Amino acid sequence: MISRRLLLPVLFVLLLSSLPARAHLASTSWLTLTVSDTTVNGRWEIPLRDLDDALGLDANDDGRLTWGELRARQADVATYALARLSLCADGVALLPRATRQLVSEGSDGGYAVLDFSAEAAQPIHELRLAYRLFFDRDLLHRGLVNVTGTDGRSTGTAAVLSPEHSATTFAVEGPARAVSLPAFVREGVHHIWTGYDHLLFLLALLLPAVLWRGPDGWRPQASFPQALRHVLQVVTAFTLAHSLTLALAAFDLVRLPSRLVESAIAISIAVAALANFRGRTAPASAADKARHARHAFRKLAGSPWVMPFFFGLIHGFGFAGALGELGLRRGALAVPLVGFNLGVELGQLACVAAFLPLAFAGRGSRLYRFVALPLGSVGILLLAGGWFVERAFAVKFLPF
Amino acid sequence: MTKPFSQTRLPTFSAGEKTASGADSTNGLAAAVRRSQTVAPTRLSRSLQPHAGVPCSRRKRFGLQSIAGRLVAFSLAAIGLTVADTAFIPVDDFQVVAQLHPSGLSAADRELRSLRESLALRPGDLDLAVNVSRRLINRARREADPRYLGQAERALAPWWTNGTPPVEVLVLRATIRQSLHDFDTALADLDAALAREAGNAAARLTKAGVHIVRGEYDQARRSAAALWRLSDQLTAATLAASVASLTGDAERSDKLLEEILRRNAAAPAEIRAWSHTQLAESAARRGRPAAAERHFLAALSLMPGDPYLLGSYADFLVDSARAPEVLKLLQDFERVDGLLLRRTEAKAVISNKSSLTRDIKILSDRFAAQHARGERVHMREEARFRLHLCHEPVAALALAKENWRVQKEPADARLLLECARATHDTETEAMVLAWVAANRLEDIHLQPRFSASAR
Repeated sequence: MISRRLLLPVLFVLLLSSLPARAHLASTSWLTLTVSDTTVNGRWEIPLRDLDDALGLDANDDGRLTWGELRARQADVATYALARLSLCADGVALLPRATRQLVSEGSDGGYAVLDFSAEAAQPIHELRLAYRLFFDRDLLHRGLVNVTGTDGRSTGTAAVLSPEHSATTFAVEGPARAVSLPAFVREGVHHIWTGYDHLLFLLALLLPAVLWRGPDGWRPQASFPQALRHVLQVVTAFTLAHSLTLALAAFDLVRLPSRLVESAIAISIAVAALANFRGRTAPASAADKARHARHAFRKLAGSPWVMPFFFGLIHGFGFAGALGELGLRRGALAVPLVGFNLGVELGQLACVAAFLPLAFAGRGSRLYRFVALPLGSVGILLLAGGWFVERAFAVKFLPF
Repeated sequence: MTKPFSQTRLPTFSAGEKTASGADSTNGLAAAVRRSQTVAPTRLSRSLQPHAGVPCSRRKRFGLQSIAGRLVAFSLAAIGLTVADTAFIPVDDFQVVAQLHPSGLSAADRELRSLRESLALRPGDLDLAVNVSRRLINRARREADPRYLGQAERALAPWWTNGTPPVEVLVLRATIRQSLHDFDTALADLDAALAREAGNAAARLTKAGVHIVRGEYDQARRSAAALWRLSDQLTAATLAASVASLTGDAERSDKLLEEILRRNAAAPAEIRAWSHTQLAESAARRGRPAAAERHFLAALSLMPGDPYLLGSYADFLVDSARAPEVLKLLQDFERVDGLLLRRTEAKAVISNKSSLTRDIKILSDRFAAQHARGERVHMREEARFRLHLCHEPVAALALAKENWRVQKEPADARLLLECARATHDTETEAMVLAWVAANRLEDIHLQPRFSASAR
């Protein structure tokens, strides 16, 4: 005699093999709050299936909820929902008032849309929210809360409310909110410091900066100011170029596919590393100078600013992606752009300032000229090659 | 009446349109109210990569910087994107705004409702709570809707707050947790139950099931062995065959199971369906399509419309180059994510472009909503989505690897292998094949490629 008590576990062993049990979205409500000065406006979208389960909205019990049935119980819906949401502005409880109800259709069914508003006596600086909708019926219910500023932009604060974490606090910034320049500067610095490809490109250009290619091989630069001048030319050219393209991309004037940009960045690093084997020559005599002048391309190529400039144009598009991730509004781009750029420059300069004294001090040694420079360049070349393959062909084999 | 789904693009520089609370529809119009959809993440962090809500977006950087970062970004971006961007006031009172019971209210549904009402009045009644919980869990499985699992868990909540819960409650909660892929909690509950009642067949069965999913075949075998004396022959044989067919003993155990199945034709439909499914999947793995077809159809006749069976059968059909049949099979199951995924994959395989983009968008929204909730349960399905429909093998590989950490079924191995081959990750490919060899798993889809080096 087969025990029926086993049927349930049997059914679940059966299902393990193909679909996850959560083949459907679990009960989720979406709450968007807009805070402006003393008013909180809210839009709360609640799954109708769960409302019906709690309130019995289907008057004729036919398994289908019509608009008429829902409209007849609007007051109950509002009372039920708002009783399970408590809002406190700076410690003072607010009384939300339902203003309107609509419906919407989500990817997993129908939702009741409850619009409400609450007034505070003073301008709101901090909003505390305690949520307990459906937690007494369904432990998997989640409330997704999003707070937007009056310009419709999300303040970036969001919360997932669950039976374990059912309250959250939002800090509301004042209406005359200045866009934070230091924050964008920090973001720029962070981006360049974690942008290994950009840093390696600079490194490839700077490794030979403290040397020059004499007629019989690499020679150390005579003076620090000379080396510094070279370095500054490289960095400034790179900076000007990527600022230009960053601005072009930020204002959406030029749009390039990211795969192309990323692959081109990898190529640029490889070329920069390769160039170290060619080296640059300092014309020693008038005859040399004349010869160099005739070979204009050679001259251009030998100049310290050409390669950083042209490749910097590409790197700028690479930065644009990161700036884009910040999701800024087109009209408010000036300050973020300046700040971000400034951050990138400061980050670069910090790296250069760290690198240059060491390189200058070691430039005379054989270790630098015959080991660090060639091996470093080979390493960068290989890495760039690997990145190129990864980015162009969407594979991944490098650990970073 | 389905409204158009969110049309939002990736939050970019043009983000931040004003919330349109002015232009609403009135009772005289069915105009859609446009809601601000652009939830621009302003958290200043490079690790955020928002691309939720856009089907198969391009990632800036290949390679996963941080799964947590991605998920937070998903949550920020998905909020507001996933629910439709058009809230409206219907014109007609008879317009259906929600399908509460897909096939109408049955007697069982009404009974369940009255039982739940009684439970609300007497939450401490153990028998009532267990009864309600069981029915809710069954409903969750039938409709593939996890909200009933949440309700079932809530019904059992009083016994979690005061001291040690009874064994029945432990086993039920383990069933709930396991179906939510929370295997660690499930095993803890099951072990606690078995410590108190070593002869609890349901606990042994569930425990064996969990071990099988996690690829812990030795432990599964031990639990399965115990079932011979705790339950009936058919259940024990099916469980034993489940383990044996994954550890190199498929032929013998399948023959034995077929024999026992023949002799137990009067067993409950659910158990026979399980036996047929086991035989079907084993046959499919061993490359015996005729036998697999026979058993799948037998299982489906015993449990028609069961979403899980349908998913398994659909996978078999696609593997047997019978993708067009999948469209017919799954056409009424759009609300079940896993089945929508399979239907869309089948469409892509036979290059049926009709509503392909729309389906991909729906799936993308649903995954985004899961992420917004902070859940990572659907990794296998999402990896399949990213690989087959979005053509993002690198993202798919990351998901498949994460999935592998949680569960190790043949389907998970197959997915991981596919992703590894798509991204030329030979290390992962070798790891999967080594695992297959170590367990002596016979599966025609998990074979080493002889021309691997040529690639």
